[in-house]
Order: sequence, then structure tokens, then C-alpha cells
Amino acid sequence: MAAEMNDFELDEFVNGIRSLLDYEPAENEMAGVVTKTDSNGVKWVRLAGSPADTPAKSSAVTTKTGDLVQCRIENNVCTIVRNLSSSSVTVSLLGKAMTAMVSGDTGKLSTEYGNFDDLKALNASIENFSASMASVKYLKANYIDAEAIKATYMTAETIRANYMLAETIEATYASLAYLQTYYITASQIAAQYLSAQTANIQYLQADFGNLNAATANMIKVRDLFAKTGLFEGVTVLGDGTLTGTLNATLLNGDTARFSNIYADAIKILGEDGLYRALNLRGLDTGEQQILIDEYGESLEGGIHGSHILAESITADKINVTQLATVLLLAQYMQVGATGGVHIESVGNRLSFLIGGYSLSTAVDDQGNPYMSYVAVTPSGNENPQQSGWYELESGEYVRSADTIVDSLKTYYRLVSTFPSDKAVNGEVAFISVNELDGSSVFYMTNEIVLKNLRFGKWVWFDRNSVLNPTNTNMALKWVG
Amino acid sequence: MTQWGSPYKMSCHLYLVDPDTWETGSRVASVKSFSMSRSGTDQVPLLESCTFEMSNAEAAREGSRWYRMVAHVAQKNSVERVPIMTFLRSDESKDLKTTTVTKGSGYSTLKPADLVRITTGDYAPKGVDGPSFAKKLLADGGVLAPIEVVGSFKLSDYVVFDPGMTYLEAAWDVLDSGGWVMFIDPNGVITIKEKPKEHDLLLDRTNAKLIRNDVKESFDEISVCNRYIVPNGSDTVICVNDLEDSRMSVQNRGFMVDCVDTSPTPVDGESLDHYAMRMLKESSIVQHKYNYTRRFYPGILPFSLVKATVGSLGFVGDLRVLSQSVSFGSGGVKVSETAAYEEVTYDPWQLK
Repeated sequence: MAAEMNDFELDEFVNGIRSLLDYEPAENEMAGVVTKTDSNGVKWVRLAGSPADTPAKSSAVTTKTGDLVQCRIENNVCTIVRNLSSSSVTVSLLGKAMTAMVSGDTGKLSTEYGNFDDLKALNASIENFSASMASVKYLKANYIDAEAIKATYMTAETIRANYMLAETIEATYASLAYLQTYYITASQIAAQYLSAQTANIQYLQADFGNLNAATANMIKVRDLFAKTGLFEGVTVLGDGTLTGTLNATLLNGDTARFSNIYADAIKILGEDGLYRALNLRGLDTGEQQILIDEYGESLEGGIHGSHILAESITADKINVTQLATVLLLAQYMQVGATGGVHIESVGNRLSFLIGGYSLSTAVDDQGNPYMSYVAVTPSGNENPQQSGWYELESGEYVRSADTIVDSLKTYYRLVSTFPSDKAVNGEVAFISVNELDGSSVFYMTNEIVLKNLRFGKWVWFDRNSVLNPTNTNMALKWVG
Repeated sequence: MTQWGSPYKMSCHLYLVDPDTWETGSRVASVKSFSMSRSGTDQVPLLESCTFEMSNAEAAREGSRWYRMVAHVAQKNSVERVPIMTFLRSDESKDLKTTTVTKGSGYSTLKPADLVRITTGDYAPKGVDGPSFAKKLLADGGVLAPIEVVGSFKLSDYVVFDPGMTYLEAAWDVLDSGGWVMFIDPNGVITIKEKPKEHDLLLDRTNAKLIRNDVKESFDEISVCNRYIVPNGSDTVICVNDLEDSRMSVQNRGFMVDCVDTSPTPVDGESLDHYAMRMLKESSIVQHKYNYTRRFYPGILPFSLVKATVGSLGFVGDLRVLSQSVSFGSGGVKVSETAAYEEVTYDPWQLK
């Protein structure tokens, strides 16, 4: 039955379709269904993909419960920006249009793409037919090209097959290029290639054999490949080659050459029962030998050599009279278990655990070195009650008394007119010099009023001192 | 207690953090260098991050876990342990042939909530306690660190979260609606509260020496609004700064700078006119940024207030800390900080 669409409905439908096609939702827009309007006038929308309702505002769009709407979430507000249900393309209008398209005046369905749950036709003429499953009562075909054919009964005038799998073959005459079978009864077999599950053979001569198990009085084989083998004696004539793994209790030979030897233990016995040499340097002189006795367990001679070169040495004990003049540690050295001695160096820093104290070098907030210590209990916990620090004398921060005095004499002349009633905004270091023996005491502070200084004090300003803008280096100044 | 204005000596050490009790665990190693960045701008919802260097051997002993950086501060032969930062150790790199040092980085304790996304359509209900709801979002997002809430405010409207937003971003949206913020203390504890109105550091004559002598000031006025527009159909609200005493008013500047608000969020009972005036006041603030280096002083975080009373520093008044970076290494402790003085150029209520 042909459906009817009047001109108004047709215009409405076409314009609706156009508006839908022209509308491109923004990234923060999504579809939803209006579920209710609460007593405060808030619209609640079930957004696509959401398990619950979301409050939405719809000041510019009129909606009612059940409407399909487009929502925009922006600045923490969900706003209904479009009512899809009130579009010109309503469901009923769409139904009418579809009915008109399928069963219109021509009564023909013409479509580039169709998706049908159930299609019935009296006659169908299909150019290309593709089906995941087809059930046909009677199939008549000029040519069948199939990957597999399964039939209960088949009558054929001629069968040609590259490969055939059959439970029973009865033949008056068979000419076979290749035969593979579980059991053969024959008075005589002449075959170029034979493959059998079991064969009991008195005499076998073969150009190529691949046997799971063979019992034979004598086998002549040109090439033998075996996963396992039990041999009473193996003799390799000429320059024979064994590849893979050879398991043997005893190997006898005049000369053995291996690329690699992996062994739980290697005993090399000379004529006098002594191990002779390994990887000798200076073979002729015999000076570079490593000597052990024939019983590895009672090794007493140790290892003797001019040099031992090794990337890694692991030992419970290393007894060294002199380790080295300079010991270079790339990362850290650890000796003994927890509670023993642990020396560690990272970059220009050093920390170690000794005598129940953890000591580490560090720098203070001014970049100057010092060493801190903290007591460590046998269980490995640190006790901050027994901790403290020492200054380390290095760099230009602490100098010898002679150097200080020389520097002071230089700068004394420069600052003879230094204003003595000014405060110094910057880091200040003091060096108190004993004029009798030249010894010095060093300490520092942040701020000092110079008029409070006593005579006999050396004052060291850092380069940031606001009162010393012309001197770019450290300045030592005499106040007295 | 360490006197931070006086000389002290400091070394830095890494400790493991027990994720169940959040207590400091065993010491892992001393680090070669450690630096952290903190920022309270919208672009950095995690608030803080860090990078560090340690030896390959020490780095290999532990995996990706929670760590606490603790400074051992020695002063007058007593040692105080001062936590610096608690972080989730993350990506690392090392050149296996040429160096013995592993470089790594760490995330703040907020990081887990930045990895989980909320369900489409999720929202914070109108009328609920905002800080508590934000705390719940963080906990649901997987934050392990303790979360403390100081005070409360009620949400004046629904806060609907953008699709694809993380739990952390959602929590920030809830707090933003009330002008609230989050803090992370050195132990990784998260505190939700209002922006502080009392100073955390007073730069008076005694403390002025904490600031070094390299203070820089900068500000940008061009984007400061003097007209605020709220489109509302035929009833569009326009608020203009035409105050004679305001240096940013239309007549004093000679040109207009508009701010348009298409999603107004007036508080309960607030008219749209009042809302536009209030928003113009906030939008016409000139931010004077001060960048300076200072000595280390714990407890100063993004959103903290620093009050300067000494004119010799170059500025006097309340500075809100925006960001800071702190580095510990062979050069000692270096703190570089940016703080801002907010100049209110439009305040119709105060001027009346």
C-alpha cells in the first residue's frame, strides 16, 4: 500500500533532514533524554553513556520529559542547546518517508545498500551472492569451486584430488605416487619412499631414513640424525663432526679442541698428577703458571701470578697487605654485613658507616663542605640524639693562617676608610687571628653591626655585599 | 627549632613512606641533588613536582614508591630533621655507559586522582559542603595521603563536570566555585581551606635578610577589564568601570577592555547586576608580580601570604605566593619565588 506524504509534510521532512545534516555538534556536546523536571524547574537529563541523571539548564530551548536533546557541558554547567525530538524529522514522518520509498508508485525497491532481517522473494536474480550460511534443497551448478566438501554419499564419474583422506579405499588397481597408511599387508613392496608407524625388518638398506624406533642387526646409514642414542662404541672416521649436545661419561682422545667448555668441575691431570697450566703468558719461561694440587678441595698454594685482571672478584675474604696507593671507587664499596663498614661515594660526596656511626660529607646552605655524623644502633636505626657535624677544611672557604694574613694585608689598605657605623646586608665571615702564633678561628653570620667589632678581627665579606660593590672577589678587611 | 635567619648546615636524605600509616620509614639514600617546583596556577593542578639525582646502585634498590625528602639541619651542634617534600617516584633515565647517576622525577600526592576519569554526567549537587565533596572526589580518585578540611562552604549551584575530566580536575572545579584552594605540606598531607588572609611570613627588619638582593617586578595591564558583559537574551547586563578615582576606568585609560561571561554563576540570591559588578572588581585587579630569591624558610607554599613591611626590599604590602622552585645541591639551598601584589582598581562598594 502506497503511503501518502502531502507537500507540507514533504517540505518539513526535507528541511528537517537538511538541518540535521548541516548541524555539527561541538566536542563538548552530547545527546541525552529529558527524564524529569523537578520542583525548582531544573531539567534532568540522562546523557548518553551516563548511568545517572544530570541537572541541566534549558533557558533557550523548550523541552518536555522524554524529549531527545543535545546538551553542552561548559564552565561546569550542563545546558540543553537543541531539542532533537521537536525537529521537523519526527519518527512518524520518517516512517512515512520510508514506506513511500519502498512501496511507491513503481512498486520496486532500488537501493544501493540494504540491511534486512528477513527477505522473502519468489524469484531472485543476484549478480553476486555472498552468505555466511545457505541451506539449499537442490543445488545445480555448472562449476563448484570449494575449499572443503563434506558429503554423506557422492557419486562421481571422475575424481581428481591433490590430497584425499579416506577411511576405506577399495580398488581393483591403484597407481600411487605417494602412500601413507597405518597398516599394509602385501607380499612385495617396491617403493621409492616409505613411511610406516612400525616395521620389523631383518635387513634394511636405505638412502634416507627417519625412524622413531628401529630394531635391526645391522643398519647401513649414510646420514644419521637422532634425538637420543645409545651406542656401545662410536668411531668417527676421517674429519667427522658432532653437532648439538654430546652426553658421555668418559671421553678419551689425544687432542680436544672446543670453542667453549661449561663444566661443574674441571680436573686437568699431568704426568705427575699436577695441574700444569691455564691460559699461560710466557709459556716458555713457565713463570706465569697457576698451581694447584690434584685435589681441588685442599688447595693450599693459592693463586700466584704477576697480574690478576678481572672485571669482578667475589670472595668471603681478601687478605691484602697493600691494596693500592690510590683506591678508585666508581660507585661504592661495601665490606661485611650490616653493622660492618660501608663506604660509599657518589660524585664528590662520601659517606660511610664505621664504629657505630654513620658519617657523610655534604655541603651547607652556602655550598661549603662539612661532615655530619649520626649514631646507628645494631638494628640499623639512626639515633638523632647522638649526632652533629664538623667543618671540613677545603677549597678557599677556610685557608691556612699564613694565606689569611697575606690576604688581609692586601685588603687592609683598600678599606681603611670603611664606614664603621653601617650594618652589612649579606653574608659575613669572621676570622679571629692570634697575632702571637698566627692561628685563626673561623666562624660566620648573616648580619653584623661593624661598630660593635673589637680590634683584632678580620672581616671577610662575600661578593654580594652591598657595601662592597666595586670588589668582584672575596674581600678580607681589617677592622681595628 | 632551627633559626632560619642564622647560619646552619644542611644535608638531604631520602626516606621511604609507609603508604598505610603515611609515617616516615627507613632511609634509602642520600641524593646528589634535589629540586622541586611548586605552582598554584590553574595550569598545574598537581601543585608540585620534583627531580632528583642518586647513584645507580641506590636507585636500583627500590622501585616506584612513595618517598619523603628530609633535610638534616645542623645548628649549634643540634640536628633537626625537616621534611621537604613527599612524592611518588616516577620516570627515570640513566646513561649506563658514561655515568653512575640516575636522574628521576616525582609527582605530588595528588597524582593518583589525576589518572582516573569521572563518569560522563557526574556533578556536585547544589547545597552540599564543597570542601567535603572535593575531599571525597580526591579519595575516590585514589589519593592515599591524609586529606584535611578546614572550614566549609555550600555550593550555590550544581557543578557539572566536563566529560573526560579527572577526579583531581573535578575537585579543583568544586573548590574554584567557592574560591577555595588546596595545600600540600612537606609530609604530603593535603589541606583544603580558604586562601589565607593572615601572612605566613613577615618580612620585617629581622627577616628582611631572608630576601637576596635581586628582586624583580613585572605586571601586565592590557588584559585588565573595565567593562563586564553578561549576555542574557534581551536583558544583557553591562557593568562599566567609569569611576573617576580608578586609574583603570574607561575615561582614565581612554579605551575599553571587555570581559564577556556567557556562563554566569551568581551566588544564592545574588542579582545579575550585583554579580556583574562583583566580577568586574575581580577582573580589574592588576597583578604586580615580584620575582626574587631568598633563603630557605619552610612552610611557605603557593597561595601563602608574605607580608613585607620594610621599604628597602623594594615592595611593601601583602604578596600572594604564585610559584616557587627550591633546589638542594652542591651549591647549597636556593629558593626562587614569584609572588604577586594584587592592586584593586575597581571597588564601587568601598568608594561609595
